[in-house]
Formats: sequence, structure tokens, C-alpha cells
Amino acid sequence: MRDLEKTQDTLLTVHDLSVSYRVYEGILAVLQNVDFAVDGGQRVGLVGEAGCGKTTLLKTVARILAIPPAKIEEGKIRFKGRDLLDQSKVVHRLVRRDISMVLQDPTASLNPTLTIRSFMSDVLKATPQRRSRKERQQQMLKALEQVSMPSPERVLDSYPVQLSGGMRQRVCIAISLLKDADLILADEPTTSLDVTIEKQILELLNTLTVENRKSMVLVSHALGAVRTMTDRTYVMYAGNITEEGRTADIFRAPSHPYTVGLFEATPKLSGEGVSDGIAGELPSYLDPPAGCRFAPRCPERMPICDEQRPGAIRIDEDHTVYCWARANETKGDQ
Amino acid sequence: MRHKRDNRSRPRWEKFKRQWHKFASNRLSLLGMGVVVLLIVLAIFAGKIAPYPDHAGLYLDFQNANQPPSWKHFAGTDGCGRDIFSRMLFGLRVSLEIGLLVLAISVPIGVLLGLVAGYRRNTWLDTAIMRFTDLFMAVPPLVLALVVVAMFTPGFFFAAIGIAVAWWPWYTRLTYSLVTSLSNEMYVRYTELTGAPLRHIILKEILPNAVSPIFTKMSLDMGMIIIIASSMSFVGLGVQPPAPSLGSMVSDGIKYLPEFWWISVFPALFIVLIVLGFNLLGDGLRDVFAIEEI
Amino acid sequence: MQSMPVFILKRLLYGVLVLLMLSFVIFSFIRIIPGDPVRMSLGPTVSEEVVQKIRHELYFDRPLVVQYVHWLGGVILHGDFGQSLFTKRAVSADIAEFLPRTIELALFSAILILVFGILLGTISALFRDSWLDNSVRLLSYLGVVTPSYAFAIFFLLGFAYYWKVFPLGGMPTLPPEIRTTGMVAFDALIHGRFALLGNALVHLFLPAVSLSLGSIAYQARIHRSAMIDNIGKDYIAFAYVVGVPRRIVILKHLMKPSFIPSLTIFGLQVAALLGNAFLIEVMFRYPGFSQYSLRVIMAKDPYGIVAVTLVFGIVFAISNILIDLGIARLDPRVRLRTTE
Repeated sequence: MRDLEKTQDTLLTVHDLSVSYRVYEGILAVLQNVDFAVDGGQRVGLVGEAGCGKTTLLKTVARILAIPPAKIEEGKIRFKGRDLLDQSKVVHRLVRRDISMVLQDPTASLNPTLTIRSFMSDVLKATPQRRSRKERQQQMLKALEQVSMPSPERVLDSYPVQLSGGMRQRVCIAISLLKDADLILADEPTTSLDVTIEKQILELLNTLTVENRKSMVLVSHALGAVRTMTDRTYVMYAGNITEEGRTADIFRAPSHPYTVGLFEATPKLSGEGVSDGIAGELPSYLDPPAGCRFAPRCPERMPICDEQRPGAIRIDEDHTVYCWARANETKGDQ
Repeated sequence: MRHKRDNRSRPRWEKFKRQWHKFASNRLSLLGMGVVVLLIVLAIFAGKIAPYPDHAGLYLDFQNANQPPSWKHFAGTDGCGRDIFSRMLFGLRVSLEIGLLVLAISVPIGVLLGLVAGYRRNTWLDTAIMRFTDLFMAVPPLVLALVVVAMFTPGFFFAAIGIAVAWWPWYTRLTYSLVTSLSNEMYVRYTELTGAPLRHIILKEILPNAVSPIFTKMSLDMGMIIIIASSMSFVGLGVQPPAPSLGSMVSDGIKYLPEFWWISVFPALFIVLIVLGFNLLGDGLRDVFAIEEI
Repeated sequence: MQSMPVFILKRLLYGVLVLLMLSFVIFSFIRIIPGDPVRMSLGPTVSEEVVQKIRHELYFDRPLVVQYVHWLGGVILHGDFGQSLFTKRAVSADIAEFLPRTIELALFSAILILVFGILLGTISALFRDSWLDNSVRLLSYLGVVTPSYAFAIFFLLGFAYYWKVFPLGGMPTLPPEIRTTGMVAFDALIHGRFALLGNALVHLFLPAVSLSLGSIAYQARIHRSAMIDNIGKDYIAFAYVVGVPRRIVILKHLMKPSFIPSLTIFGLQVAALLGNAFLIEVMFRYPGFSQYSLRVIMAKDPYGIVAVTLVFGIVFAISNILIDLGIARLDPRVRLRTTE
């Protein structure tokens, strides 16, 4: 867990966040005491299987979580030194100006009754800079060119239904970048893109963050992308952070049994072969395990894992794991 | 029932229990159901419950005409001295009967045509049927019903026929769109691939899933049909006097406005109540089955 | 990809076809049913010769197809809908006199429905679950279940009898010199006769409100649920997150897609209007087309009934096309579909 005191450079700090959803059958306790942080100009990866709560976390930060049925049970979020859960106008404007997000489903993200131009100009008109119609047009074209969109003029005048899935995804990315936000939350931004375009998009995001000192959270299950594109990585399982640290450290020496299993299940160019995956399935959020949520599937399960949630174990300067089985490997203080 | 561990019927019972639970959780739906049940009871036992059952037909008692509501006559009396409350109960029976008759005619025909058209999609049969429905939907339903009635003789039966003629296309359209979307579902495709006969597919796969929306629509339609039937009686082309009908009671009372207001007002309010009950019920069903476009 | 003119043309052509078929069906049916309309209209005392003569003049003694073709020719070439046995004059004259008034009533009602239905629905959706929303919902529910003539009765009792604010019925006559469209209020407006305009509006008010109230309620409900459905959609969340101001998200991004189901329902409402106008015209003694239609239907007037059905069909078809156009403008997915 990072010290709240060391927040000088920290853009975003999520502390002890728990989010639940109310459904017909009961309450889904999805996120559980999540700690998460992003520094200025930093690229952070968020890795985990489908349904583990990554999108919920991002949506909570972007403040587009549907509050009923969702509910923020506890926790604090600080962005640029302000309480993000505060409903005041000032914070609202801050969020709208400085946080941007790419949602997971590009088709659902685009209003079917609006042309791309219409949507984009709405976004541009909301930015503080004043631009003439011509300047806006330039800006829109430039944004589309940045994401390698063919025939950008035609795309501008099109409706989402006229574009292919990949084009829609790129449009969404382009739109989210129009705002010049300081924090970009990218939820699976490249899933329906083919490899060459994917590379270009990731490089684009790279440039933006590194050169313009923007921060980015990259959610992806393409581990290769996360590995090359991020400075730090968080691994999530069933609403818990299981491991966090410098990307290089995590990939070089994964510690948490889940992370280990995850990496083993990924095909590698070295041709080592793929494991059979991790036995079992995600626990029910309605009735989650009292202790570590991964325990039922964990090869290193111990009795204490079922009783108590693991605390943070620091195994390196910037590598923390939440696992009882690693309790004896602490290096230095906790 | 609990003793038979029948694997096929248990999941269905569970489903029904769940749906009932969801339905009952909405108080308005329960209210609707209660109102409808009450109305049905009143209609069936109208003869026993009505204080003056013989006022339902021809009855003249000018001394008692146009009496305001009182303990003797809950809704007052009309221009012929008849007890309005009793006539309302019999009128209710007539309204429900018309509604049922209309649905009994239009739903089977409409659904059948919709099934045929939907399953034989993109054939000439499909186009022919759908164009045929367009024909009947080209004019507002009340107009069509009135024209049909005028061609024969005004009365209960032809009024029902008239409304049914205007009503069946909606069921064809609904069934058609249900069949279309359902037959695109994978499990129907698989069943087709196994070579099951057409009858089997329609009965076992498509119909059970189509029942809920159709049923919901029927409930919502009752209200509309009753309004249309009462409108027809209102203009004199529906149920003919001396048979009591809520619509004609309202229209008869108009000439007595405003002094003897109860002659029109009570039957009108009663119609509102009836329609309200069916609408609440239908809405409740719609919520339970989570249907979007009805 | 279809363009708009093609779209309109196809619909128009199709509508014409349907109406032709409909007119033929009605035409034939009237002549097949038992009963002699000519004899009925002339009465029992007129001699058989005269009856035969009239029957011949009106083409009733020719074969069905000949009759139909003759009638159709008359309609298309001269606008001649035949003779009404009921009013004893050309049906087209009847139409010209009565139809505009009903159109006026229907137009006024339609505007009320669109404006107030959408307004109430929007307010209800934006302030969801507040007292405002709940009262609107309650009122709309009651509105939906009440037949229009019930409203008419209550309004008549309230505003015409007790609080004599509005007249009991009828409509001021249109002076022939300013007759352009036949619609009293409209003609008064364009000719600057404001006193007449005011008078007409006052007479129109209660009938239009009675006619439209139920539909306003229904429209509000549909629009509300459309907006609520769309509020949860991803594209709204995306618009917010990407920085579009709240006001614009609501007024543009939310409203536009919500109008699609709303307009579709509006189309059905217009159909209902045309049907319900009957009762309202009777109740308010409004001298309109529906009253005329009723009389003609009850008299089993052959030319009258066909003409009336056709007119309803045409008005209905035109309003449907207009609404479909509106929807197509809003929803590109409709426009861009090449086959259905």
C-alpha cells in the first residue's frame, strides 16, 4: 500500500474502495478495499480476467458509475488533491476536464443518432479554448488521423452504423483524446483492432503519455501490451488487488499464485507451451469467501487464507503482493 | 405435486414461482389483479348481487325516474326509472363478454397468420399476409369496426366482429416479429438441424416463448377493446337497447346534463375503473416478462 | 443506401396501393349486403319507376367491376366521389365542408399531444422518482384509462355548465369570403380576423383537450420510459466522460434517440385521434367529418361509406408517412437499411 503522505506527485489515489451492486437476488460485493494509485505522467496497467471488477473501478473513478444500483460502500478517491466523490460543481468540472475514458464496447459508446462530427464538435465546444468552426474541423481531422483513420472527412459525416467495428473503436479513442485530459482511462482499447492498428494505437497512447506528461490506466488482457506499455501494473482478481508493482518486476518475477497462473496460461514466443489454465471459476459476488477470494482455486492454499483477507506484503522496493503464502518473504518493513 | 420428482416440470414451476414473486412485489399489479378478479366476480354473479336485476332490460317507472344517488339506489336512477347501479353490473358483464369474444376471435386468427408468415419468411405467403394486415390497419380501428357493423346489423355480435376485424392485425404483427426474432435464436436453428418437423418446432420452441408477450398484450387490450366497444354503444352502433351497455348508458345520460349528472357520470367512472384494472394487470405482466415493445 | 425522395416515393406508392385495395373491398361489400339503399333513402311512398331511375343514375344496376371503375375514374379524374343518398348531394361537397373542421380539431389535438406529452415525459424522466415524477405518472395513468368521452363529460360539467368558462359546443361559422382551407381558426388567422380566431379557439379548446388528454398521458409515459431506458446507455456515459456538458447531453444526446419510440407512438396516437374524434364531435355538437361519417355509416349510404373510409385512410396514410419521415430523419439506421 502506498503511503498517503507521499502524494506530492500522485495524480490519482484510490484508497480502501469498496463498491457493491444491488441486484434482484441480493447484493454483489464486487470491489473490496481496493487501493490504487497513478502518478503524473505514469502509465499504469490493470490486469485481470473478465468480471473481476476492472471496469467498475474505472467507472467509479470516471464518475460514471450508475449509483443505484451500484453503491460506494466505503473508500476515498483523491484526484489532483481533491475528493473525487464530492458532488460539488468544482469537482464535477475538474473531472469533466481532466479525466477521460475509453469504454469497453465501442458500438454502445457511440450515439446512433448523431454523426461523428456532431459528437466531436460537442466535445470540442466544451473545452476551454475558443475555436472557430474551421479550427474545430482541423482538430477533428487531426484527431482522426492520429488514430490512423482512413478517409477522415467521410468518417466525420458518417453515423456509427456506417462504420466497421474497428473504425468505431478508433473513433472512440480519438474522441476521448480530444479533451486533452490529464488522466486517460482506457478499458480494453484495442480488442477489436487488428495487430498493426493495435500497435499504432498503443504507440499513440505511449507518445501522449510520455511526451505530454499525461497519465494513463490501461486495462487489457493482452499481457504483452501491458508489459511494454506500462510503468506499473496492478493485478486484480474478483474485486481485490492481488499484486502491484513495477511492471518489469511483476513480469519478471510474478509472486501471487494467481499472477503466476495467469502468466503460465499465456502463450510465449519462447515456445514454452501453455498451461491448462487455472482450475475453478470466479467466486460468487453474492456470497464471497470470507478470506482471500482466490483461495478456493489456489494451489498454495492454507487454512488462514479461508479465514482472513491477506494484508499487503512488500517483497521488493516497488512490488507488493497480497497473499498469506508470501508472508515470510518480506524484504524490509511493511 | 411435490412428490413427483419430475425433472421437466420442476424448473417450470420454479420459474413460475419466481415470476409470481416478481409480479406480487409490485403493489399496483396486485391491485390490478384484484380489481380484475373483483370485476369478474361481479359480472358472473351480477344477477345475484344487483339489487334490482329486472331493471337490466325494459322497465318503466316514471315516478322513480331521475332520482339522485341514495341508499336505495346507489347510483341513482335513469330516465326510465331504472336503477343505474344494477344496470352497471349487467353492463359490466356485457363489456367483459364483448372483450372476451373479440379476443377469442382475433387472437387465434391473428396469431396463426403471424406464425405462418413469420415461419415462412421471405416467401410470397409472408408478403401476402403482411400486406393483408396493412390493409386492415389503413383505417383507424373504431372507423373500421363501425363500417363493419353498419354493413350488417348493430348489436352485440356484430360489434364484436367489427372490433375483431380491426384487431387481429396487431396480433399478426406481434407474432410475426416474435417468430422472426425467435427463429433467429440458436436453439431454434439447432432444432431445425436435427430435422424435427415444423409442427414440433412451432409448438415446442416458438410458441412457449411467444405466449408471454401475447398474453400481456391481451390483458392490456381488454381495456382498449372495452373502450372501443363502449364508444360504439355510445354512438348507437354497439350493443342495442334495452340490453344494458355502459357506453349507451353514458350517451343516454348526456341529454340530462348537468342536472341529472349521475346518469352519465357513474357508468363513465365505472368504465375508467375497469380499464384501470386491466391496464394495471397488463403492466404488471409486462414488467414480469420484461417485454419492451407492446 | 436509400435517399429520402426514394423513401417517400416508395411509401406513397405503397400507400396508394393499399388504399385502392381497401376501397375496392369496402365498395364491394356494401353492394353485396342485403338491403336496397336507394329504396331506403327515398322512402316507401316513391314509385318503383323513380327508384329504378335513381338506381340507374347512380350506377347501382351495373356489374360490380363496372361500378368500381366508374367510381374510381370519377375520383381520380374529377374528384367526384359520387352522390350521397343521405345528404342528397355530391359527396365531395360534403367532404369539402366537413373534413377541414375535423382536420383542424385533430391538428390542434395533435399539437397538444406532441408538446405536452413530450414535455411532461421529459420532466418526469429527468426528475425521476421525485414528487413531480410521481404525480405526473399517476395523472398519466389515470389519463390513459379514461375514455375521451368521459373527459368530455367531466369538462362539460365543469367548465361549460358550472364555471361557464367555455361554450357548450358548436363552432362559429366561417364567412365564405375568407374561406381558404375551410379550417375556421386557420383561415381566420391568415386573414387577420382575430376576433373570429379567438372565438374559434375558444370553441376548439374543450373538444381538443378532451380528445387529446388521454393521448398526452400515454405519450408522456412512453417518452418518459424511452428517456429512462436511454439514460443508462453507454453512449450517454461516454458523452459525459468525454466532457460534453450535462445540458447538451440531455437536450441532444438523450432526446434524439428517445424521440424514436416516442414518434412511433405518436403515429398511433394520431390514428386514435381520428377514431375518437367521432365521440367528441357528437358530444360537443362539433360539425365535423366524423359526425358526417357516422350518419353516413348508419344510413348505409354506399358512396358515402366508401368515400369516408377512403378519406380516413388517406389522412391516416399521410400522417403515417410524415411521421415515418420524422423517424427516418432521427434514426439513420432506418434510412440506411436497403431492404426490410
